Amino acid sequence: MEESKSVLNSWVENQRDMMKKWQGISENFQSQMAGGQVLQKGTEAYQEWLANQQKTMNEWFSKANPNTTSDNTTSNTTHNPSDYFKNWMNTQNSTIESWNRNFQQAMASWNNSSATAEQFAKAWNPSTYQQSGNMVSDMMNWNTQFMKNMNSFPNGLGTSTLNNIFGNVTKNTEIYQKLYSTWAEMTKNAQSNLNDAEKWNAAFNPEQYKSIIDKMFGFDAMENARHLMAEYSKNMESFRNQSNTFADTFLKAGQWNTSGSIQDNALNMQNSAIDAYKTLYNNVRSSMAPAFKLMNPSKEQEQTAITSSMVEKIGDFMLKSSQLQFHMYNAGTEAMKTLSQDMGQKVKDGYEFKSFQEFYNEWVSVNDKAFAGLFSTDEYSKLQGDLINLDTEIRSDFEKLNEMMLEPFPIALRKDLDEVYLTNYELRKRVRGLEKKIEALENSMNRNVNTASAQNPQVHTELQTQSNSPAGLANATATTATHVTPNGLSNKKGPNNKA
Amino acid sequence: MESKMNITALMEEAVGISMRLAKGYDTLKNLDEIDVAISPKNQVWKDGKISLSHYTRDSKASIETPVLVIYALVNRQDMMDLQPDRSYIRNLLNLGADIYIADWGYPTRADKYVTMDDYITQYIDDMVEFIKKDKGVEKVNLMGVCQGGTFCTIYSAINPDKVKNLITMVTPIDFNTTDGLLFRWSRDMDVDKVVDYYGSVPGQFLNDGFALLRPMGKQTKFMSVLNMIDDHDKLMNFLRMEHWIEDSPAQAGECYRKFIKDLYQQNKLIKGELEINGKKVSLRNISMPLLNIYAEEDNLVPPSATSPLNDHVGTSDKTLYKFKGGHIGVFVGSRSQKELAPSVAQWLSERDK
Repeated sequence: MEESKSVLNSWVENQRDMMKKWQGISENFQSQMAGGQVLQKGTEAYQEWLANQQKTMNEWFSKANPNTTSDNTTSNTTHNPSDYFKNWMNTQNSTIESWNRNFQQAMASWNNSSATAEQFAKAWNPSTYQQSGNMVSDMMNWNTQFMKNMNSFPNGLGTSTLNNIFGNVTKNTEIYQKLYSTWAEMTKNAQSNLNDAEKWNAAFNPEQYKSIIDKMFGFDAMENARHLMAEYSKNMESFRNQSNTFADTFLKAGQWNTSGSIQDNALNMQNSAIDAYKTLYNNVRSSMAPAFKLMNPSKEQEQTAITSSMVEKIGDFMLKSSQLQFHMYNAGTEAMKTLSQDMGQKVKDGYEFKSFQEFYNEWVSVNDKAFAGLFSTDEYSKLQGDLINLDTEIRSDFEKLNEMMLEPFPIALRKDLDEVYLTNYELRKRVRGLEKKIEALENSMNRNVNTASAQNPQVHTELQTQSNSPAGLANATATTATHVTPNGLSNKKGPNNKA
Repeated sequence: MESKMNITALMEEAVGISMRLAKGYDTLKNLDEIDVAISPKNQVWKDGKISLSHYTRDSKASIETPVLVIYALVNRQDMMDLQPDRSYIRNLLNLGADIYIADWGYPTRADKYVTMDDYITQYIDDMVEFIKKDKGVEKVNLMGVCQGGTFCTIYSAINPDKVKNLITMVTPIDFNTTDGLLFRWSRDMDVDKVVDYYGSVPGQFLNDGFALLRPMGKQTKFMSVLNMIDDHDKLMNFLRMEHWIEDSPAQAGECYRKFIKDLYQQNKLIKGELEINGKKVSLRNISMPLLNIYAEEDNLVPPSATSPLNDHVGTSDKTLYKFKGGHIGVFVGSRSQKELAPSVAQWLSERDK
């Protein structure tokens, strides 16, 4: 017991030293960023601290008796190495978070720094503690922090395409790393008996895997839903400002219920979406009922009706969206199960894994088939179609509401512009038709002139004068097409005229 | 049997990915420009946002009848001239073709009323007339790609007297297929709602659908970048392709409405029920030689949607060309450069007189 206590004291000492070093580093972080030294120093300090932690913990693990009750060293001290390790990991995480925050502050000067991302990555290479007995956890912890940093790299790449590509590469690397984590856990759990294929399956973590699927298909962001909710909230605010106090209740009810349902767990998503929708809808109806009765048939009433209908559509959208996600999770989970069974069998047969890439390639192939299978079903197609329809209906409703609110102001609305576009389209078409008629007429007259002059030179002058008139008109009205000369100068001509 | 696993080596592999990601950032940071479609050409005709360009040649074209290339309204025609060593256009130029190419521009909401009929009977016809006069020829060769191929097919059926030879590439004609997911999904989409809201349908809306055709495609694609980060040429090839994918113009609303409703949903063209400017289009009117190129592994426009054209045209000079590859491979794949372009040039040469 005493021995454990001294190890813990040693650990606390380590923490304190680390934080002291850290404080000093943080103070100079910005100023030294340019030379890239801070990265190096910071990383060295971190790694030194981590190595000490590892050493301490390894010693403690090797000496501590899991069956011995801990003493009163500290109120947070736990009763066995496993729990103790969790605490240690939490502390480690918070320290890394602290490092991370400082790093983020320095990111602003990244573009002017000579330090490269690669230097940073090398500096952070956790190879110094790869001999740890908990390598997988350590490595994943390192990677999580690393990916956070990579995600926050400045959008300083040359073009939007490059920025998007890097964003996509980062996102997909995260998926790769998450998959690695899932796989590593399964592998680790199966190590005690590699011949037992069942252990592979038992070690599968569906919740962790869900986050992989979320990332792959963008469900983690739920951007559309968030966007809709944001617009919905904004719209409600405008509504409240310009109508009456009933809307205040409506706004609160709407915001509270909808924001909750976005964050629902996948497994409960369907039910919670239904519940959220019901609550939302009931609240809307009860809140707005007095308003409907009081209002005269007017813009306000129409506005309220559209809003009410829109809320219903949003609920429907969320419901169908959760149904679609549910199918996706099922397909992904089934694919992973199939894959883990195959892998388990390989392990049982004595197959030697040479690289994670092997597993990854298999995973891609199995998932491709699983999702392609899902996407080709009638149910998926119908759901996707319904979602597109609802999405455009809701957007149209927003647009109508926005236009109603903007109507009193002296600005051109989208519907006004659509009328202008239509008029423009029709006029251009008409001009083009007239041009063609004129050109045909001109050609016909020229032919007549040529024929007549060949037969009787005296009428040539008279016909030539007549033929010039429509040609002049043609030049005046031919505004639709342009013949562009190679030197960049252009002459306005009819579509069939060569300059 | 006892299995072996070197956990440290496996971990290093995963960490290595992060290292390459960091290196990738540095590499991308040092890149400035992604150049595509650099074969020299001059814009020779323009109508609003739509234009026609003519590729310059150092020597006289050995294939005298000019070729008008009509690309789809989806994405940009740059795909056909992606980079010097992967340019279908450059290959055809080197093989003696005289090439004009349509550029549909970037439609906005202001172009929402432009119809499919306008694209075919107005813009394509104006371009054909321009080329006829420019080159002093009676007919032109039409080469249509994907949706552009459908337009060219319809145009040729309406104006057989203006088209010397028709080449269709990965072109949807029979939309009543269950092989392609786009064909399946389009039946459950209310196109009226989409067009009524968007006006002109955003390129991103279409790209989202295309991305799902290969569910794991994005994952493998972006992970593959990390393996090419040291190879500048390979990386640039990848970036050019991505640039092309991102460069997605919107589709003029009314055109999109008709294309989805009449073709994807009701398959009117092959049934002889499609009307353009109030007149029914008959594929039997296609009396000029036809070269119909389809890609064996095309998941956007599957062979079952493409190859039936040859069964419905009036001409007896019709060739069905099977390309071993996918929808995009037709233009940028190495087989395209080595085999397809020479075959097309030869086919045109044989029918040039």
